[in-house]
This record gives sequence, C-alpha cells and structure tokens, in this order.
Amino acid sequence: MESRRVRGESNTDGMAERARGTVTSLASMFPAEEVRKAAERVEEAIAEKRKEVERFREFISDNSNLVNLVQKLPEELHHDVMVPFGKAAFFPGRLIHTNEFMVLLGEGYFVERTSKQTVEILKRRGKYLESNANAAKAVVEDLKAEASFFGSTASELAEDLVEIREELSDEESDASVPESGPHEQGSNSYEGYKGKVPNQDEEYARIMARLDELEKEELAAERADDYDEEDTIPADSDIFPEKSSFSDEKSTDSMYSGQNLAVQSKDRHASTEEILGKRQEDPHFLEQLNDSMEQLDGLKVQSPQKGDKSSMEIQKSKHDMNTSRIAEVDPVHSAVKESRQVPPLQSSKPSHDSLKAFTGSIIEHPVNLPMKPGQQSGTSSQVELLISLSSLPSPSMLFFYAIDNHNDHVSSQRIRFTHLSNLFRLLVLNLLNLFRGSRCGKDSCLQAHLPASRTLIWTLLSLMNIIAFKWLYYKYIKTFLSFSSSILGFSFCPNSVYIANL
Amino acid sequence: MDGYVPEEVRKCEEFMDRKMKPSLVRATNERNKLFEQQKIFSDLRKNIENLQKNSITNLRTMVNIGSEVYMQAEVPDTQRIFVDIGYGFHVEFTWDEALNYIPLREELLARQIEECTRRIVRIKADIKRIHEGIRQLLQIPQEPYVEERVF
Repeated sequence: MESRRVRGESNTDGMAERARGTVTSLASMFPAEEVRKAAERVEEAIAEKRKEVERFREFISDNSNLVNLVQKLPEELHHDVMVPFGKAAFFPGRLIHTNEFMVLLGEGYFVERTSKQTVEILKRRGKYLESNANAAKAVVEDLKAEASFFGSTASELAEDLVEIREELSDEESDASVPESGPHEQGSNSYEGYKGKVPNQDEEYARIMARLDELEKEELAAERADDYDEEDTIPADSDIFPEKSSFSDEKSTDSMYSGQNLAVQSKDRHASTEEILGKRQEDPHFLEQLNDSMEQLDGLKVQSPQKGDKSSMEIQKSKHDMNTSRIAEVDPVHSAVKESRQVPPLQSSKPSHDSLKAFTGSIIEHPVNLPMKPGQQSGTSSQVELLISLSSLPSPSMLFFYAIDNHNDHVSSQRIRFTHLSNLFRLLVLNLLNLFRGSRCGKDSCLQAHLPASRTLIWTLLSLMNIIAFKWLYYKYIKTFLSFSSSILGFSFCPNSVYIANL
Repeated sequence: MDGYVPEEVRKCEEFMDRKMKPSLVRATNERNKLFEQQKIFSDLRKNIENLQKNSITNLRTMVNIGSEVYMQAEVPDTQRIFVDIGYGFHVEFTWDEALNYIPLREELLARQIEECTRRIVRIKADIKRIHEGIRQLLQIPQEPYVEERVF
C-alpha cells in the first residue's frame, strides 16, 4: 500500500494519464447538510439509548435494594410502618407475617413465597435485567461509533477533500490512488469505506469504454512497425507524457486532461509542470511505440480486486521487462512471472504486430497457473511453435479476462468472441510460420522448419481450445487450458508466453 | 412567487410542528395529571366514607414493598389518617376532618383543570388558524361547511 501511494505521488503526471477517472468533491457526494442531519439523528438515538441504559440501571439497583429488604424483614415479628391508603393518605400500622411475601410473576399471577424463595426470584430477575442493560450499552456503543464516523465525514467535508475515482487501467492496478489523505486507495475500496456499493451500471459503462479504447490502441499499434526494446522504459512517469504526445491517442489525451483535474489543487501545479517537462523530452518514435506498448500492457492490468499486490507485481514486471527477461522468470512468484512474460517479440512477421504481444500481466491467474520454471522438457519445438504464434494481438482479450472476475456476464461473450478470433489468427500464423520458417521470439527458439506433426499437434490444441470456448462455459475450461498452455509456454520459452490461450 | 409561497407554507408548518404541537402536548399532559389527582382524592373520599359507614376499625392490607412484592400489614386503628396536603406535608386527620378537607382539595383541582383546559383550547385555536392560513396560501378550496345534525 505504501509503495503504491509513493508511486502515485511521484507520478502524478502518470496518474493523470493513467485512467479516465472522475473527480467528485466530497461535498457533492455527501452534502454537508445531510451529513449534519444524519449526525444529529444518530445523536438523538444515542440519547434515547442512554436513557434506556439508565433506566435499566435503576431497575437493577431497585432490585438489589429489595433483596436486602426482603432478607432483613423476617428478623422481626412485626414492623411498625405507615400503611398507605390510596395515593394520598396513610395509616399507621404494622407489617405482620414477616416471612410471607406475595410476588407478582406477571399476567396477574401471584405467588406466596418465603423470604429466601423471594430472594431467589429477585436474583433471577436481576440477572435478566443485567443482560438487558448490557445489550442496551452495546447499542449505545455502536451508535457512538456511527456518530464518530459522521463527525469525521463532516470534518472531511470541511477540509474540502476530493474523492478521485479512477478507473483501473491495465498498467497500474492501483490507478485509483486518491489524493485525499485519509482515504483508502482504490475506488472500490474507497466506496466500501464509505459504505457505498459501486454502481454496477457505471462499471459496465466504464469497462465498455475501456474496451473501445483498447481496440483503438490495437489498431494504432498494428499500424506501427516493430517496437523498440523496453529497456529504455523508465518509470511510469515517463510513459504518460510521451503517450500524450501521440496524436492518435485521443483517449490518452482526454484522459490526461481529465486526470489533470483529478489532481488536488495543491498538487496540480506540480503535476502539470512535471508532465509538461516530460513532454518536452520527446524521445524517439520507437520509444513512443514502446510506450504505447507499455500502455497496452499496463492497460491490461487488472481487476481492482487484486489491488496492491498485483500492481506491485506489474510494476516489477515492467522493470523486469525492461532489463532482462530470462533471468527473472524462475525465482519469482507465478503471477509476477506471468506479468513479466510480456512478449516483446520481434517477430519478423509484419502481419502480426509485436506491439500486441501480450503482456502477461494478468494478475488474476496466479493460482491457476502454478508456474514451473524449471520445467524445461525436451519437446521444446512444439512449445516454441506455440509461443511464436502466441504473439498475437490480444490485449483486449487479456483485458477482458482480467476483468472477467468483475463482470462475468458482460464481458464473457466478448471474451469468447475475441478469443476465438485470436485462435483463428493463431492457426493462420502457425501455418504461415511453418511455411516461411521464420524465427520466433528473441531467443530464436523456433526453428525454421518444423515437423508437420508438431504443427498438427498445435493445430489440434488450438482447435480444442476453440471448441472449448465455444461450447463450454468459459470459466470452467479456462483453468485447464490456461494451465496447460502456460506450462508449455513457460517451460520452453519463458520470454514469450502463450498467454493468448488463456 | 410560486417558490415564495411554499416557503411561507413551509415556515408555517415548521412553526406548527416545532412550537404549537409540543406545547399542545405538554398542556394536555398537565391536564391529565390533574385529572389523576382528582381521581385519587375522589377515591380517598369514597373509601373514608365507606370506612365510616361500616365502622371499620381494623384493616388488613397488602403493602407493596417494592417491585410488586407484597407483604401483609395490619392497621389496628383506622381512626387516624395522614392525608397529603401538598408540598410533602401530611396532616393527621380524623375521618370527619378528612372528609372536610378532601372536597376543598377537589375544588382546587377542578379550578386548575379548568385553567389548563382553557390553555389547551387556545393552542388548538391557534393551530386551526394557521391551518386556515396555509389553506389560503395554497389556495385550496374551502371545505363546504356541512350542517351537522344537532341532537
């Protein structure tokens, strides 16, 4: 959590680019009037409950006094007392039969009891009263907590805090780092904190919008040539200003400007300046391509649920991508491994865009895909073939998959469709690859000539996948397929993971 | 003007809810207490008359010693009664003296009740007046005055 926050703060410009978010001042979301009224209501409830607690305590004390009295009375044969006659008159008289008590049990039933028995009855009553009093006290405590919550909301309103809700972009899962101090990160978590349920419709709309943007990016990336190394990709902050220079990245621009607003007023200056400064750096076009790929990758990130861990891993993975791909596969956690396996494939196939290589930054898969880094089996060629062909543009699919947990029924159809299309493309590319005998991946694990059997096997696998996705429920089969394919992929060509199959 | 009129109406309603209705409730409660007192004394009077009529000298009662736990008590001599005359004082009366005092007390109570009733009626009239004013502001047609049958 801390690191995310730091990152967010240092990359305010990046944050500006990162997501299309909304900025709502707390005052608009929780109008001050209502908060105050709610606080008053809670105060009233507290007062009522306190009175109840008082009443219970009185009863309890009365009860204990009576117990003492009942125990003391039998000591004498008679007691001289003033006997009341109605409510306004007394007679001087005597208490007689000092060991006989008539106790009301309720509903007009009386019992005649001795002193000791009466004491027992009263003690039982006392216990019941105590439990009631404790329950009332607990209610008061709850109400007090509620009141303090309202009070803190009111004070926050007074401070003019702003809620910044950003959609989770694929790059950074922690996109929703609000600038307001005490609030938690993540729009969902923030909303939970505030006790609101995220508006489902808004989520869908947002996700649809993102899908469209990703499609656009795909097209844009396809048009571009191969991309540069990712080694030069620095921290996130560099990506965003560069991305903003894209002319065709309209969404980015709008995002960027939107996010500018998202920054709290005191930070606005700093972020803007930073962004402008970075803009002027304006690196190489290839770097820009690189960045766009990064953006694609990052956009594929994540479901908001995974939050911190995934974002950290993604970040880590990006850096890893920047440096060396191979070295870090083994020791790392499977999720991170997945994310690292961004396929910056420099395939010589012009038809397939290496920029579209998946960034396997699917954080959702870690459990599903227990990576076995050391599994370097002999049938590498088959996998290599798989891997080589896996460099297909499927950022949308990954994205869909990533958010699958979020919106199953909305995106599953799209996922299937996209997946099917990808698989078909894979098939075609496979055949092409076979005939052209081109390399695959950086480590050129794919040999120019592959036995037909291997191709066949791979084709069958793809068909199986296609069928599975088409006819079976996506969710059930994905675990198996992803597992199998990723094992193959990871074991033989760690750098380019066939994540499309996921 | 449209927005202004409801504002007036709202203010009238608010005034009614916050001031008039609670004061009406308070006055009614006071009157109820007075009624209770009246009943107590009237019961006392009846009992004393009963005692006198039947010349009861001894009395066995059940005394509530707390939380509805009763104990038997005996009154050997009923001639002397201590009556509450207010302000926490109880005066020792004989039956006749008590019977003299109690009607006086009842009279006082009746006067107090009368005054309370007048207060209540005044508050009710005010509320009705405000209602009428609201009606005029909102221009709700007046309800036709139905001549009720007088028996």
